[in-house]
Amino acid sequence: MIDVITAEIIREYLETVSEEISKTMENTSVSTVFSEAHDYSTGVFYSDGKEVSLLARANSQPIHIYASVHSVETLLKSFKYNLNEGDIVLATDPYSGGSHIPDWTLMKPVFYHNKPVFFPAVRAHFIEVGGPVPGGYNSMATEIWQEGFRLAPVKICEKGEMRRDIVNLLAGNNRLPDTMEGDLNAMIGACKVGEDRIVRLVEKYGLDTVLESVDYILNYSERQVRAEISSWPDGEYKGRSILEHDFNGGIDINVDVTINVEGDGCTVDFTGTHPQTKGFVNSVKGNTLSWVFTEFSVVMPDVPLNSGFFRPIEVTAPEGTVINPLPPAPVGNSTLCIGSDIGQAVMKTLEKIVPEKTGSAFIDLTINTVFGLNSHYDNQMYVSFDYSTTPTSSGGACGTDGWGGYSAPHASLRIPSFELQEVMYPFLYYRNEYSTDSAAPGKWRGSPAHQMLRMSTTDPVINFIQVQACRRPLKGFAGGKEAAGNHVILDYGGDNEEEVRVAKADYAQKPGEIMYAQSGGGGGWGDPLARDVDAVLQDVVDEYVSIEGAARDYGVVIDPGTMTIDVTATETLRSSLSADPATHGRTPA
Amino acid sequence: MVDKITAEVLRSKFDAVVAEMRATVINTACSTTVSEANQCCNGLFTEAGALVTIDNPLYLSSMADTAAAVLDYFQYDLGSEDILLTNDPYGGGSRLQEFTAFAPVSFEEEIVLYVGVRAHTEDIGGDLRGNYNPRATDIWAEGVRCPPVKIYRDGKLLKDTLNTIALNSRNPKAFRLDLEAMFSAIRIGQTRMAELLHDYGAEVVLDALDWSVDYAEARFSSMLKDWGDISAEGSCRLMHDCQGRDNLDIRVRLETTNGRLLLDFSETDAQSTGFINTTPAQALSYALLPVFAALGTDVPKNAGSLRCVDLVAPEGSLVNARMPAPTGWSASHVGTDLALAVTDALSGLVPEKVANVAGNSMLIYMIRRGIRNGFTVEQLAFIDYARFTQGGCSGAAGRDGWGMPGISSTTPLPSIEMFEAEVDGEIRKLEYVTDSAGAGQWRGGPGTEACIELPAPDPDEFYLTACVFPRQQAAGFAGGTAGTDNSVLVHSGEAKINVENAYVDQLLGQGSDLSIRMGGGAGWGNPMARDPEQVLADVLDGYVSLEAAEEQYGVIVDPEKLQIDTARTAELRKELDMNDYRPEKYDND
Repeated sequence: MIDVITAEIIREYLETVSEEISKTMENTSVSTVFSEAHDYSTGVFYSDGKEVSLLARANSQPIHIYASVHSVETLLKSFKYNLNEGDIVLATDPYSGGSHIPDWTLMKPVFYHNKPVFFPAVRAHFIEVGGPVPGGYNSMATEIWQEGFRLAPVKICEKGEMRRDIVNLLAGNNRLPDTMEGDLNAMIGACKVGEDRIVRLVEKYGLDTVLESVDYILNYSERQVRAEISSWPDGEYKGRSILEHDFNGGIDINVDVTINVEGDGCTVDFTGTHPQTKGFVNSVKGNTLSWVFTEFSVVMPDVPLNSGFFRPIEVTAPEGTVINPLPPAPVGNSTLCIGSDIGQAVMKTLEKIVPEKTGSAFIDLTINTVFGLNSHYDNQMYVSFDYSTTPTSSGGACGTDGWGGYSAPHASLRIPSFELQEVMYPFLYYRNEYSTDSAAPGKWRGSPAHQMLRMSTTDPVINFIQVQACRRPLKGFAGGKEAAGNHVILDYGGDNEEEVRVAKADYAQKPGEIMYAQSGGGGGWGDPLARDVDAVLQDVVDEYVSIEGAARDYGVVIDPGTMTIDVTATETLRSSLSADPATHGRTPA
Repeated sequence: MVDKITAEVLRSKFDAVVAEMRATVINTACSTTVSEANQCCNGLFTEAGALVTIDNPLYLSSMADTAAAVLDYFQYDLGSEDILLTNDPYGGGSRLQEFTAFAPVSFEEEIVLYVGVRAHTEDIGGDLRGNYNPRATDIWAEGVRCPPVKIYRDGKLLKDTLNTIALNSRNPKAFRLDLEAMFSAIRIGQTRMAELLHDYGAEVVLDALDWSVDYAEARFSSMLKDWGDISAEGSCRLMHDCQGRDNLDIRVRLETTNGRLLLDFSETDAQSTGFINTTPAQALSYALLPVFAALGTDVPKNAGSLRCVDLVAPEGSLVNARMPAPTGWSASHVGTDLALAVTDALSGLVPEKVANVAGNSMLIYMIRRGIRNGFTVEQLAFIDYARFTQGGCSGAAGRDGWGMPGISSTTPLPSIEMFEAEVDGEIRKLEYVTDSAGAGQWRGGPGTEACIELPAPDPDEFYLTACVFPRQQAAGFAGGTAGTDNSVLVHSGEAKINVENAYVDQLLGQGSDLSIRMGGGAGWGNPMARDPEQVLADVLDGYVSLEAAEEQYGVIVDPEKLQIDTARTAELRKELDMNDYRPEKYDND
């Protein structure tokens, strides 16, 4: 019997290994998407010969790493009788263990007794993957082939020897082959670091102790989750979230969730969800599970995250729906839309069980792929995402306001430095700031909306823009109000001003032309009238809320001369507003 | 050293081996592109990679370049039981959907020669099924690139590589079967060559391979010497590139010096944004067609003949596009235009040897789209009407043009019944058009008219793409006249569209039909010199009308008795000749 101290040390060690894999990736990758924006995840997986378990993951994009369980399972299945020491395997295809084509999962099996036991893995979002549209976000796609190069699970390295022909096959289907190879090498290096640390762990403690600890680690998380679910009232709870559109003609795509709590386990059933759609928002099962587990992990923040966590939660994802499509449905945007709606639907359901634990744990992105030639650099082609169109989605949660960036599960995504963007691309940012009266009101308010004004300078910038949440912004929880929503305006202040409400493909932004984007922030939590009046005053001082907004949204009356709260007037206003909840907390567009 | 008789015997045997490979791939391939349209080629290569013989001169230079590319790639890493696979236009390939399998033949554990086969598969990803994408602006919008990869290693199939490539085909089953057919052809080639090596001894066979190459060089060179040292210029104008650029000029300077041929395309226009670009490998194959035609059948087409040719193809021009320019339709345009430009240059030098050997073809196909799961729209089928777009070929000294298909096409006449059995819809008419052939002592082949009833939505929808090119030649050869022009008329619902240049991926309405008029071939020589009996025969066959017989040929046929009025004909011909009468192009539209 293992002692729990050793087991806990080994658990923390594995968490550290994941973190070290992550740091290696950050420090050695070429693309700013990894080195700056952190759009990748790392973890350590384990196979007992029957099933694959996630043991530890670094503080990173959970939607990546949970989906990787599925990738590692597929990789093991693909090479069932044909996996050797020194092999490194890669999976990208959504219908073969991936989520969307740009997310590549690389893993390196670590062998004991001639069997692969541990799998350090990296999953990273590649900026370029071939296909008709640079960057892979093809809103016109109706089939997976229109989204990029599909890669069945392959050995990129065999018995320690790189397969140059496979690397060249990847490079041949990539508009930025050098960057791709650099990033691929960073992934390989990171996995090798992980392998080295695992080998040292086993050398120190012996395989038996490590495996016993692994059992303990998984069972511990399972026990914790079961204990938490046991405290929930048994019953059936329903929730729904609706995606505005699928970028290609389909509108109002619903995700319906029924959570059935029974004893110490629960089922999450997506029956009733919209059939798979024409546009590229269909989510393969691995991605759907990721989002479910992400939301559950938010309501149980203290439980170590590993496959033990997932055991008590059984997910039913009907085939042929937008959350478990049949090939060749396109899936390119599903990691976010419909992913966010899967998350929001689950969270709205959990709100009925544990409201005090809920909040915006998803993002409603505006995707802005930018590419073109940069005359500063010999007309070299660049492809990138501009994350500054969409940096805020955190909402209020019980006890904390939205903190002005991505929501919790995506908080490891960093917004690249605007200065660096301006150096690398022909951009000039006129504005990148919070706007007043845009934070979703609540006892704990959401993060304020962020506004961006970006001019193209020396060269035309080609934009692919995909916008959600103009009509259906992120929801509030426990009486909190909804977020401000996203808005994109092309040729802002120019002759051909145009609002993008769905998608714009291949839009050439001329030098001197300005693009505007608002990122709506997350929903509020709790009744705005219950917000601490001093917090409202502080928001007014910080210009997050105007004096008018304080009165309208929060029922707080502030004297503009002295900048103090009029206590009596506030009490009167709050009691009159509370008679009709619909009259307050509406943020004007 | 092998004696000449044995060498020549073996040379014929080599041709027979390649012919057997061809029969194998055609008889066993799944896709009709190979089994019906015979779009494939097979070749035999020396140990140094020199092409010894090929069954289809359209791929002469591109197969030679592919061999060089794959051998360079795997030169230190090739086993005798390996098979290599590639489709890369920028590595000697033709177009993405045409894959080349390449494998060594070994004798006593040493690689002594190679065999290769290329076949046109149905689809390899990209934006549009079939990979003919007039909208593509780079190669990745056309499909997936496959730089040389090993598909068999030491006799074992590399399943992960095959799975990856097949995953990128919209018809993976047919794709795998087509590859199987190619591997079968490879094995036939390997077996037959092994038999020859065994029967004749390796030294004799290998000497004979080298001799075949040297012989072709000597033969080609000596025939060029017969022409003397000459120089000429030729040009051809492509009316558009399907992407809005008009009048693209191909200009060639042809020079023979002491048995060497220079083809200089320095003055050719810059590359297009669209899919009509070509690589030097493809360009040379097409540019050499008229040269081979002029030299006659007894010049072997292999690396020896290529040794006598210098190609000047400036990078960035239509004949040497820079990666990643699309090249998907280069086999038709600018391929045929290159041949026409060279024909133009040759026509002043060796008029009696010149005729148009290039095909006159257009791109007409439909994509069937239907909803199969949920709302996912799939491209279910690619329906090619290319078989009905083979225009008449031109007359040559001593021979009339024989109607479709063109001399350089390996596509047999279409079977209407087969086509109707494969595809919904009906072929209402497919026949020669009276007075469409260019007049001459040897008239061109008549043009054709096809009336095709297109399938109605059921509820699958049909999307038509048609790229129409006017005939480029202004006149016939050696005093002959040009044939009629091409046109495509689309009736879609109420709309009647006379396709001007490119009609891309347009939805067809109920009751659509298509009328394809392919122009006739050009005539060769003065029409007044044509035997009046032949003109009468043409009248009786309906190729030439009574009026045209009189106006174009000066032959007066009695409309009642259908006999030649000899006296009046002689008188008319004398009068027309004295007036130096050049008949106008007769247009019956």
